[in-house]
Amino acid sequence: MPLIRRDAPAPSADRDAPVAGTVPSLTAEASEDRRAAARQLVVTAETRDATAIALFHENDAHVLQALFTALVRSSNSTSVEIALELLRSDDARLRTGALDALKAMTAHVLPHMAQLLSDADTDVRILACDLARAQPPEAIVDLLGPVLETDGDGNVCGAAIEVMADVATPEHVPLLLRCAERFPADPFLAFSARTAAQRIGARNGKP
Amino acid sequence: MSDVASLRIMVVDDAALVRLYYRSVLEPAGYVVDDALNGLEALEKLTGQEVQLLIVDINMPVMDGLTFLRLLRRRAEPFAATPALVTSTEAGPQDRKAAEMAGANFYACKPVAAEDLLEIASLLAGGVGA
Amino acid sequence: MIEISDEEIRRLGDFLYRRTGMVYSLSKRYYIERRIDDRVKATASPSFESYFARLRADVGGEIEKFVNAFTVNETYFNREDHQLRCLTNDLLRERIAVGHGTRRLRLWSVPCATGEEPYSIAMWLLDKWPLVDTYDIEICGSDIDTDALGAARLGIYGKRALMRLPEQVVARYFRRQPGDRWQLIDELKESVRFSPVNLVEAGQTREHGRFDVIFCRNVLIYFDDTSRRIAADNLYESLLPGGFICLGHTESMSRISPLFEVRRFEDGIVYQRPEVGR
Repeated sequence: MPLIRRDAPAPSADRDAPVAGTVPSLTAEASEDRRAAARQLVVTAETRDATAIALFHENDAHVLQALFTALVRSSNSTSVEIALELLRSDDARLRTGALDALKAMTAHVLPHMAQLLSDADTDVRILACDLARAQPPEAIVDLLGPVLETDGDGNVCGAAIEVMADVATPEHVPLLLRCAERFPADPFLAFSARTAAQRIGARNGKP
Repeated sequence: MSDVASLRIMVVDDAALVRLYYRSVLEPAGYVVDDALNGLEALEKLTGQEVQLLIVDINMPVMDGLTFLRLLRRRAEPFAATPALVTSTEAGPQDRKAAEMAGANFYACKPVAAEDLLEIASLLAGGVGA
Repeated sequence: MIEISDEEIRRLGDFLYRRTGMVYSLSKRYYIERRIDDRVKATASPSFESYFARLRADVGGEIEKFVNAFTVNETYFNREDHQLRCLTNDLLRERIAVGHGTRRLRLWSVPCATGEEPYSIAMWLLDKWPLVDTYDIEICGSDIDTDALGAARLGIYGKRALMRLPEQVVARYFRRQPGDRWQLIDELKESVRFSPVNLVEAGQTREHGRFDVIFCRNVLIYFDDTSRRIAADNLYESLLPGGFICLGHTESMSRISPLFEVRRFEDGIVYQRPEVGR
């Protein structure tokens, strides 16, 4: 009956166990080696450039993911700096990776939020609204209020309304509606502000 | 020829209000609307439910819309060929090109007007039109 | 019982999905409402909205408490037998097809708590897998809780843990002990190797080597974003190329990590590490 062996041979060494005397390289030819390197990477001022370059050039999704995880694991101002740069990338995969990484580093990101929300690039401001979602509710309201009042881009405002809808209270409803009124030609914003207002109202009014 | 009442559209967008907006336009026109919050969730749902049209946003957590489309088009199952409308806040020609290369059938800038949405849905999903 | 609109359930579901990776379907509406009702009462919240605000801000660890209400922490043998069926009907078949002649299969149950899951796998394979004699099967059970591991090694359980097992299975693998307890026979106990592990520590997961199939149920939902992504990465590394990982039935990798491919089998959704060269 004992058909299952208990004393199995020792498992074969994982290829990312550091081999004595070698430094795994982020630019190795084999993707498994680059991924192993990324998994051991500590992001510091010294490794900053190598990390940023690797992220910029890497094509393999699994290596990329390990690089972004390295940013999160290190979770310091250098990680945040690198991720913030990547928010501006033309490559959607890098923007998504950077945004996800930043959402896991909320304390380090907070000091940058106001600046991101007033960036000249509308796509950065849109991503910043989504990034605000990871902050505590009171911080979200403080950060997105000014966007709703003054941002000149309809899609940015749409992103702000989306995030506000979850944390706002009835006193913020006029702010949402006024924001939509600034863009009378935008079909989505009117719907969005109205729906958000209903949700907030419904939320607080329900027994 | 399918009855429009049975045509299914999957909206792949991280924003709840955007999904609701599309739903508010498409459901009265007779479409059944499914949701996914990112590309990976969409892939997961597609393995279990056939749809006639995908509306895919580009910026989403975990897996962006273009990566999703590329992975979708590489799969062996029939759903790999599902028509896809990509929506984006970007309007430049290089972005349309990138979407096309990823496997989009159509590209629209956000915000998408209700009439345009219905027209594209009717073209790509085979509905009877707005 | 509290009345909640579809819209409110969707919003709550969205929030929890973003935060934990758990998926709620409107088709389970009644079940969800019951759980919300339990928590609203337990927290003495005057309304659904005030409860939702509490949940959002994670007051008093409410997210974990809410998640606990859904995961039924009591463990028992053959708890998710659809995954066991998937294992023998589909997953093992694929693993041996790519095996390149090796006769070894490694399975990991993590977290294993007091051992019900890895022992269930062992019994299931012995009873239901025709090829169990032809392969060397190594089953590992790991947990961060060393007390639980101690109990798992002893292999003594109460009646409730056995409730899903057919009588003949109990008779075959357990011996009755005084005080309404049941102990696994030695051969079964010896078929699982137990070890401590913290999924967030790459060094610890690396020590366990690579597996053909990992069962990792109802633990990732409790992690914060940072820990969850690191754990997912470590779990990926703990899979052989083409290996499979099974999550809990309300969990989805779609909020957790893009590393895995989705595979849908008759008995459920499973995630796969891509084969080399794909």
